Amino acid sequence: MPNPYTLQENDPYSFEFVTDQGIRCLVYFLDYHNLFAEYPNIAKQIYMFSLEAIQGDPDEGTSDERIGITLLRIFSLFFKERQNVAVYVCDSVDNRQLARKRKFDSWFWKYNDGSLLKEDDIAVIEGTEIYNSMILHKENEHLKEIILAFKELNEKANDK
Amino acid sequence: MDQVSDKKMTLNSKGASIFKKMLDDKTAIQAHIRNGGKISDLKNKFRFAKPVHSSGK
Repeated sequence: MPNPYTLQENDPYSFEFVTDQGIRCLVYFLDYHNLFAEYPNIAKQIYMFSLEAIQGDPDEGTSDERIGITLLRIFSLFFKERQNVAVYVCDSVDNRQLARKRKFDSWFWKYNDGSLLKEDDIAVIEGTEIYNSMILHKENEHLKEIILAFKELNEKANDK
Repeated sequence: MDQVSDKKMTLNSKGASIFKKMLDDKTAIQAHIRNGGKISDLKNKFRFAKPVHSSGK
């Protein structure tokens, strides 16, 4: 398996890496500890994860498996703390959210070592489908409660 | 753009507003960095966190 790209920490808020095709990618986390505010028993270590291309378009050119390997490397570090939970939404600005979801899914299932679980859902908001996912470690103490809360959150998002 | 606040994002407000906020946050940050801005410029507007370090510590 190819090596992940080298992660650069240029500031206290994000990571950066540059692909073989010269695409500059940025990874950051936002604290969303109050995502499950109505479930006080659920751990508060909830983060929204995001990957952005700063320069270049990763959707152009050949598929780069090293990006996926790098993401899973970041997750392996992130989940050293077993109670961490990562949530992400697929950008729908250009209506390519489904393609992005499929790409991310393929990386996840290919390079996950089996220690992580991913739950997927779709929230339809103002006519737009927001593909969203949650990743957590199988050893999370509140695994079942968090998954149920996530599903409920999506169900409520779709309530008319 | 939403400012950092401790306002409760409860399930009563509900799922929809939470996912919308996530998408809005992501879109705003994306626009900023694609226009040459730095993440650190936004440190007071979003709750950035670094729960992981490349050294693994």
